[in-house]
Amino acid sequence: MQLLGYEAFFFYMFAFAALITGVFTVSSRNPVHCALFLISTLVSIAGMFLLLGAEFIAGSQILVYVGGVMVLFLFVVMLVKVREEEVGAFSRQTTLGVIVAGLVAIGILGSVYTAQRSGFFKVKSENALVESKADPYSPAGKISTNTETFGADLYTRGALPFEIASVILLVAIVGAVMLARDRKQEEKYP
Amino acid sequence: MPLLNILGYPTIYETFAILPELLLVLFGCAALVLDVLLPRERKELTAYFCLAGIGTALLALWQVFETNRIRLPFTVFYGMIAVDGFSLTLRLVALVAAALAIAMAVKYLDVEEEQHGEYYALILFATSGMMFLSSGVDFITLYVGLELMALSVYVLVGYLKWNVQFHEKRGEKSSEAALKYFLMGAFSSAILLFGFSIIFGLTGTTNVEQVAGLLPGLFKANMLTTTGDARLMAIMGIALVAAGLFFKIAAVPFHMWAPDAYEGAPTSVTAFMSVGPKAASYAMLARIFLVAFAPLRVTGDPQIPGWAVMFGVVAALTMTVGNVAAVTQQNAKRLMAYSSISHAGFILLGFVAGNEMGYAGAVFYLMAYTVMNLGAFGVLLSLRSEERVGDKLDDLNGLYQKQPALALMMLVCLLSLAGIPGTGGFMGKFYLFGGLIQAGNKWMNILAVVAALNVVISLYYYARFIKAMFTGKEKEEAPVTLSPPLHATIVLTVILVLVMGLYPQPFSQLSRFAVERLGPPTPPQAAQK
Repeated sequence: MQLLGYEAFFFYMFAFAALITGVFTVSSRNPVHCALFLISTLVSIAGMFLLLGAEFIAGSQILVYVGGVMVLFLFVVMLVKVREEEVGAFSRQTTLGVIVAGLVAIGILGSVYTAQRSGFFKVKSENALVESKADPYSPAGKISTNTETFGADLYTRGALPFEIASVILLVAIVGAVMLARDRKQEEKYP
Repeated sequence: MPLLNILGYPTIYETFAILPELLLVLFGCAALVLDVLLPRERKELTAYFCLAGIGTALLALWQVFETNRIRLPFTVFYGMIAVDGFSLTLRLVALVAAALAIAMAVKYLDVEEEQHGEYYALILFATSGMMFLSSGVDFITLYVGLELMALSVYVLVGYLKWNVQFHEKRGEKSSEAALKYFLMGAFSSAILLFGFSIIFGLTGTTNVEQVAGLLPGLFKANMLTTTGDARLMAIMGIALVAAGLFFKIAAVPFHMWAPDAYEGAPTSVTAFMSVGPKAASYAMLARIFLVAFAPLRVTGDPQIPGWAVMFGVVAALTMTVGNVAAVTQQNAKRLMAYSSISHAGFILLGFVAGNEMGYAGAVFYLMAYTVMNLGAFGVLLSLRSEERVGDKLDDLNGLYQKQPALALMMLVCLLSLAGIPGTGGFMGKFYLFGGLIQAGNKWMNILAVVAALNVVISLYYYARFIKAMFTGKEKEEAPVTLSPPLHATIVLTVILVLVMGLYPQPFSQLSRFAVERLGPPTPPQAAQK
C-alpha cells in the first residue's frame, strides 16, 4: 500500500500526533493533562478513520469519545480531586513490563514488515484473500455510501450484539450503584 | 418455517432459539425491581425468584432442543448464534452452575448481612452472557457475551465492600480483588480484541466458520507467491487471541490474577466464578480454536508449528505451576484457586489431543469439574458463621466430629477433584488421558505422563483437607450449621459426582453429542509436537 500526495501527508501527521500524544497520556503526571492528551489522541485517530473513508466512525468517535466520555472523565477527575501520581508507584515490575511490551512490539512490527515486504498489502488480484471492494474513497461528485452500509449492517447482523451491549450497560449501571453505595445510605433509604 | 423467512429477517422462530437467554435477562430485571419492593427481612425471596427464572430457562432450553431436534445444527441471527450440540450442552452447564451458586449463596449472604437482590440479578446477567458465549459463532457475539459475563463478575467480586461488622479487612480485600480482576480482565480483553482485529484484517470476516475457510489459504505454498507472505501476521493474531483467552481461563503464565481474586471475593462468588465463567471461557476457546483456527492446529510445515504445540506447553505449565503452588497454601480459597488453575491445565489436554475422545473428555471434565468444585465450595461456605470467617484450612479442623455427613460429602468432592476411581473427576481424567494416548504421538504420551504426575501432586494437597477434617483438633467450638438450600445443593452435587463416576454413560453421550461438529477431521498423521 503506497501512500501518495496529501494522503501521505495527513497519514503521517495524524499517526505521529496519535503516537506522541498517546505517550504523553501515559507519562504525564497530572490527571487533567492525561485526559486532554487522550482527547488529542482520539481526535488524531478520528482523522485516520477519515483517511480510510470511514466518515461515520470518525464522526461518532469525536462525538462519543471526545464529546461524551472524555468530558465525563474530566468531570470525575475534577470532582474527585485526584492527587498527582507518585513517582515510581509501579517501579517494581517496570523492567519486566518494558521487556515484555518491547518483545510484543517487535513481534507485531516484524510480522507487519514481512507481510509488507512480500507484497501482501498490494494484492488486488482475484487471488486476494481479502476481496478488496471498490475504491473506498468516493469519486468526486458522488456521495459516499459508507454510512448507509454501516447502518444496514448494524440493523441486520449487528442487531443482536447491539442488544446484548444494552444489557452490558444495564449491568454497568447496576454495578456502579452497588459498588458506590455504603451502609449509611442504605439505612436511610432501605 | 422457511415460508415465514422470505424477507430474510430473523423471524419469531429465530428469536425462540435464544429464549433461555432472554428469560434470564427478563428475570434479572424483574429481580432488580422485586428487591426494591421487598422489606429488608424478606430480601432472600429474590433468590428463590431467580432460581425459578433459571428453572424456566432450563425448560425453555429443553424446548429449543426438542423442537429443533431434527434440524440441528443451524445458525440464527445472520450466522451470529449457533444452535448445535455444543451450545445446548454448554448452556445447560451454565444454567446448572448458576442455579447451584444461587442456592448456596442465600444463607451466606445473610451471615455477611449483604442480602441484596442485585447479587442474584447480576448472577442471572452473567449467566446469560455465559450462554451467549456458548452459542456465539461470531467474534462480535462472542466478545459481547464475554464482556457481559465478565462485567457482572467484576462487580460480584467487589460485592463485600462495606462489611465492617465482622472483619474490617474483608471489605477492603474484596474491593482490592475486584480492582485487580477488573484491570487484568480489561487488559486481557484488549489483547483479545487486538488479535481479533488482526484476524479480521487478514480474512475480512468475523464469522468463525468463514475464518476457518479463509485462514489456511495464507499458509498454502502457492498462495504465498500470489498473495504475499502474511503467515507471521496470522500467527501473531492467533497468539494474541490465545493470550487473551488464557487470561480468562487463568492458564499459566496468565494466571496471576486468579489467587487474589478468588481469595478476596465473597466465598459464594468464588464458587460461582471458579466454575461458570470458567466453563463459558472454555466454550469460547473451543469455538475459536476448534472451529475458526482448527485448520492451523497442525500446519504441516516443520518451520511453523501449529497451535497444538503452544497448547501442549501451556497445559503442562499450567498443571505443574498450579499444583506446586497449591501445596504450600494455608488459605482454603487460595488453595482452591491454584487447584482450579491446575484443572484448567487438565482441560487444555483435550484441546491438545485433537480427537473426538479428547474433545468429549474436555466437555465431560467441565461438567464434572463444575459439580465437584461447587460441592467443595459448598462445604467451605457452610463453615462461615457469625464467629468464623471459614476460609482458613484450619477452619475445617474437626469437621468430622461436628458434622460427619458433611465431612463425608466433602471427602467425595475432594477425591473427585483429585481423580480417584468411582468419581466424576476420574472419568473426566480418564477420557482426557485416553484422548492423548489415542493420538499416539510421542510428545502427547510425554504430556500424559506429566499430567499423571500432577494428579499425584494434587492428591497431596487435597489430602491436607482430608487430614484437617478427620484428624485435626478443633480450635473453635462454633457449630457448623447448614441451611436447607445449601444442604440440598451439596447433596445434589455429591450425587452428581458419584453418578458421573459410576454410571458415566449418559454424561459421556452428552459430551459426545456436544463435540460432534467441533474440530477438523483428525489428520491421518498425528501432530508433530
